[in-house]
Amino acid sequence: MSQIQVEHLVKEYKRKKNPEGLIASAKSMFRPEIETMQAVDNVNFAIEKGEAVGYVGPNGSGKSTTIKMLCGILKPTTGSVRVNGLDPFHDRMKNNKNIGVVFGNRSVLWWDVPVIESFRLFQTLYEIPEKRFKENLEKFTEIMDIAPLLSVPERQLSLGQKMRCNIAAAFLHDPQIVYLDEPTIGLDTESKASIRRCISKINEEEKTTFIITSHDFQDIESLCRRIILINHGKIVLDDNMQSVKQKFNQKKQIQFEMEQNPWHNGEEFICQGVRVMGTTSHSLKLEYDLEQTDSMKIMTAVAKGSEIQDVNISGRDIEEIIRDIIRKDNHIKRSSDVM
Amino acid sequence: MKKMKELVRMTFLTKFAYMKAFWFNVLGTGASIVIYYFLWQFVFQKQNSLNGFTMVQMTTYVILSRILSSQFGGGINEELSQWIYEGKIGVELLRPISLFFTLFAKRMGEFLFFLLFKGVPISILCFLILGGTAPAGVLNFILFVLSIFISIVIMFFIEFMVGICAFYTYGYHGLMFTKSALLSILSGGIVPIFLFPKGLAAVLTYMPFAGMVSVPVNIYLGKYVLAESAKFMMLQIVWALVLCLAAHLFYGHVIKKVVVQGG
Repeated sequence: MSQIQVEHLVKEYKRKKNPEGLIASAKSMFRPEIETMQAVDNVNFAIEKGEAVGYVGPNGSGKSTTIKMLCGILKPTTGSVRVNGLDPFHDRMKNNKNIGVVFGNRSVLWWDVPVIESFRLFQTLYEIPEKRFKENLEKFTEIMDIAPLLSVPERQLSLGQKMRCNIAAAFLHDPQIVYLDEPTIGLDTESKASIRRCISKINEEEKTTFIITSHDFQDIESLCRRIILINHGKIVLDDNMQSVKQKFNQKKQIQFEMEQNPWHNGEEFICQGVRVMGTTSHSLKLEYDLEQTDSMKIMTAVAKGSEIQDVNISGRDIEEIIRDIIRKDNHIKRSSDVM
Repeated sequence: MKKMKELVRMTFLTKFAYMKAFWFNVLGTGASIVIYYFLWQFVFQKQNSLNGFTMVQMTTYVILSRILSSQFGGGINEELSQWIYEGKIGVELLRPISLFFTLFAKRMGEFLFFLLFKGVPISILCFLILGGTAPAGVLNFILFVLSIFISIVIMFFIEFMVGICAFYTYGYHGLMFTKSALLSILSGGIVPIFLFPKGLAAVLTYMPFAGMVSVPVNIYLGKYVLAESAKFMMLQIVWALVLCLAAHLFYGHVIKKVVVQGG
């Protein structure tokens, strides 16, 4: 059995409609109109120990709701979640000992006391042996570069400093699974990079399972080998990062810089599966379909007619691919809604 | 137990961060004692005793009841409501200890802090300045202290339930105010319960609120014979158990509907 098993998971929210206008608002105080929305709609997936999964989707697609159900703080409307064989909602306390959570917009630390006091309290609450605690504290203090922050109360820290302390806090008890919900919000590039390095290392060395939601696709790309895409509460894509790139990256662009462009103001450059995107007297920009041709063929063809000085090949990055998939999915949904 | 100790310690550290605000709180309680003291002095100009209370005993009642009921403004309900209101409850639910445990430890911390920095020093100061009686006996004093400790448990469960009402109201200032006002009146924190109409007074004596102020102070003053003290303290314990059950049922009902706001 997988470490995390999600089957037919559904979460419905009932929401009071907030009508417009004063009279309608007053009416709704007594007889509110309730609307039901499916935040998560029949979601299925399984995650093995040691995987690093990127859970992505646009705003309001049901990412955080899913994560909250995985942690056990929201009760699923129907369907089941099993984490290490436990139901995280009913065995929350047991489950809590095995997981670490970082919410980008919430802190787990005590607001008014120095950070180290919060860490010490975690040691007691999670029953971490002194030796292990010291090792972990030292390790994560160094990785997150928070040594000078330990004696400062949390309320005096900046957003990024708070995040770094929170990330360190999530790892102190050697969790088996770590949920990171927008972990790099408010961090500078240097901290982002060191967090990514650190997570990759823990993932490899300790076989810790990671589930990461982020709007920063660099986070997802550098950390996750698998990506699950959710839109309108439904899973649209669940695949290996590499194969997503290959499958959806069929078109690439290639740009040549040359002495003299013989195809500018002359006959058109013709090659199977290639479309000319732009020409100047010194450059040529082409888009080609990977199923019909490849970059070597094109280069050979171009080299025959001119002297190439520079070449630049670019494909779409994962962010663009995801955006495309979502756009298509929204389109399908809308047209099916009409019918 | 160690977890409880550490959490109490954290509460102390948090309280220390707001020491200046706390001194104003102490000052306020002191002022209210003085005001009530003069009020009762006026009443006692015309008579020597009121329902068996002498002026000295009434002064004692004022000092102890004002100090005990000054706890009603605090408690864990505000923080719990805030957690629910702001969505921080999610983080608290992810701790490796239960929400009840976290909050109870916090409440104990708050109570011990209250005793140490307000209850004991202000009592001594007021007794020295305004005069008051010593406890009616050693046993009375022991039972008085015991009764206060039981009343904290009662208060905790009431605060807990008031706190989770924020699940329904999405706001907490009204709840806080209502709680503190009702408890002050019903517990005998503003005037002794015997001043209420007969029927109401009889009911209030057996309600859980009486256990917070009226019962311990009456035990202290020796208004109850031993058998009565024992009876009222048993009643306190029964109420603590009933409220504990109610709080757990309420919590079990609400937690399924938790909408963790935001994020």
